[in-house]
Amino acid sequence: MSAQTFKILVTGPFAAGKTSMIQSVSQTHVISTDVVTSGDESGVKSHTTVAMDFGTYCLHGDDTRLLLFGTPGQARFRFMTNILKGHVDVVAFVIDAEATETHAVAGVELRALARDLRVPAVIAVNRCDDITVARRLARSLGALDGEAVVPCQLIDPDSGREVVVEILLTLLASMESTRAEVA
Amino acid sequence: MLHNTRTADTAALTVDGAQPVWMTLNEARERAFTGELVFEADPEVLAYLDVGIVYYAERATDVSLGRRLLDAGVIDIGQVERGTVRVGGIEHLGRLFDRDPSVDRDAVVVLAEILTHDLIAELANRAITTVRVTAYRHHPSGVHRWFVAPLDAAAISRPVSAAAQLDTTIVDELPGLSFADTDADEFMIEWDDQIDETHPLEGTPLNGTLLTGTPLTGPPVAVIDEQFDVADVEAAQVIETVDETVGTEPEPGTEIYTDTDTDTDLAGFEFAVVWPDGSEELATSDTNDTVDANHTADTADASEPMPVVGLAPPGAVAPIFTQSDGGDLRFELPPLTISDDPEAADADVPDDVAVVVRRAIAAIEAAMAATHEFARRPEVITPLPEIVEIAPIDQFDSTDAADTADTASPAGLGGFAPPTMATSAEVLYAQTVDDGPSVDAAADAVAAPTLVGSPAGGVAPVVFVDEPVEAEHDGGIERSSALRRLIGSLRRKDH
Repeated sequence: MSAQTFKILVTGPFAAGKTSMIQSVSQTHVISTDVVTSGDESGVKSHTTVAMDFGTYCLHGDDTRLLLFGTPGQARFRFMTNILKGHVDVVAFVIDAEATETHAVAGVELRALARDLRVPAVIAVNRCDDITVARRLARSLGALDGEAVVPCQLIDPDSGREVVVEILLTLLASMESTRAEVA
Repeated sequence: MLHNTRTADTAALTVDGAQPVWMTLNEARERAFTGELVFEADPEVLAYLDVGIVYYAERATDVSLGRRLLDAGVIDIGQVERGTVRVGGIEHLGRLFDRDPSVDRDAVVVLAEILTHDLIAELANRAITTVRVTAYRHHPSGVHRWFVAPLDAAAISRPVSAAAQLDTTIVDELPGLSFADTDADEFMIEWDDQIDETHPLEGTPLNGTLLTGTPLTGPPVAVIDEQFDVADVEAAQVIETVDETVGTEPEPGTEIYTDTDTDTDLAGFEFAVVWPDGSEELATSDTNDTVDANHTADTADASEPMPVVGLAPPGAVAPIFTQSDGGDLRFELPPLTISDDPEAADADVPDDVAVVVRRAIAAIEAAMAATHEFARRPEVITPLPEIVEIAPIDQFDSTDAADTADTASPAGLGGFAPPTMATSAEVLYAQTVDDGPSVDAAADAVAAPTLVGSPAGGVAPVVFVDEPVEAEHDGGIERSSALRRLIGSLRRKDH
């Protein structure tokens, strides 16, 4: 049995819940690059990711690993997303449904990411319980029809794990469809 | 059908039956119409005019102008946020350039013009039966202000994005330049005595030894007015005259010839000087300074080099003015020095950010190293297959070729097999890791490729055919299986 590693890129606008999602599944202490926020951002949250978050999940007695890379949400750290998005297996794009002021930025980022990536993506709509609302929001921001949309409450670790499960299911479906095409 | 909100003036713009759009626009131009025209096409097209000129047009279904600018990449979201005035539900972009000087006005305006022109051109020949006319209604985004608001100083000294072309704002948008107002065709600087052939001037720097070849002991006379852009020096005809009476008060004619109106026009006028290293410096043309400089120089030590243009930014080297063979004033710039110093952007990274990034990278490298302790693949030198002589075409057995083609259809004759999933770097790497010590055997297999369609005579081309790669299939299944185990594990944590 060979070692299998899966990489998830967790991205999205500022304060959408990316770090919370990684923390909800990571078995190791999440490596964060948080610094104290300043200016207007300090009114939203006290700390923010400036470079990346990194969490892992491993199977016991198995070499299978799940690596989660979280990107900074601020536009000024956008270059980190470009660095981290290489060689990922699947992308999770996190949006805060209630932070409407971030949606314009989210839409731009989502479309830019969709142009660059050739891997499946999942839209996690945080602070939203209604799949219909979540889908409508995701589509309005530029999500493609085939992309999975998951409503979630990332403040709850169980919800975060559900999102990760959905992400992995999407990846699995993508892998199997690719294999079927090759066959 | 007609929905006219105005009376006789705009009635001519409306349509009596189907009429091409261009005719309506012509009518609008002839009447210097200002306001909104709505062409009831599918979808509706809204055109906004100012004094008969369409300054913006869009389909009713188009996304907002701000979004279009964002999508086109001419502005970023931060600029939109800073440049937008929100009053209630209105998002007004009319003051975009005033509120955010970093916006590249040219790029934005040009994009709006392109969008408008494309749409109008597409629509021009279509016959529209209904046009709604509303005078003095402008686009709700306030774009009208971009085209009618006078340029202010901030707009003149606007930055230009990397995508924009060479900035020519200095030479093409400075209003009221002196040489445009004078009667002469070109800006002239005069000294009272004409340079003659007895004063060789070739390559003489324009400093204290200017023109005469000997240090000036009299008042400096060649003060280049600050409003004179260095880029235009070559274009300006300079008639150098030198007061040969050294050490005497300059006569009225020794001063730079300038038009009185010019001084008035340029007093306090701001402009930017762009240096070869890309830095810009705002400067103010203060004609009083120029005059003062002339008079102050009367008492100055004339042996010191005469200032040429006092606009060099800190650390920059000022251009050196020289006299060419033809007597024209020219300037040379010293070569640029490329510094190895970190860029300002890098230097701006706060210490705390740098520290956490370094710490995170180190931690991630350590974590990743633990998961990638793979066996290093020994170096394998693959011997090349023996090259056999190709038989002449008339000796080629077509049946052999047919056999070959049937067997090796993916590659074709004489070619390599096309890349497959089995040959991807990831799969090969995974195979290597899986094989571990048995990699030598794999190397042997590589060294002895299967030859297909090689007849006894050995005259057919060599064709490599990929072996069926079970490992790829197995690897894919294994990866899927691992993924399923991950999913199952995460799901179990749910309960």
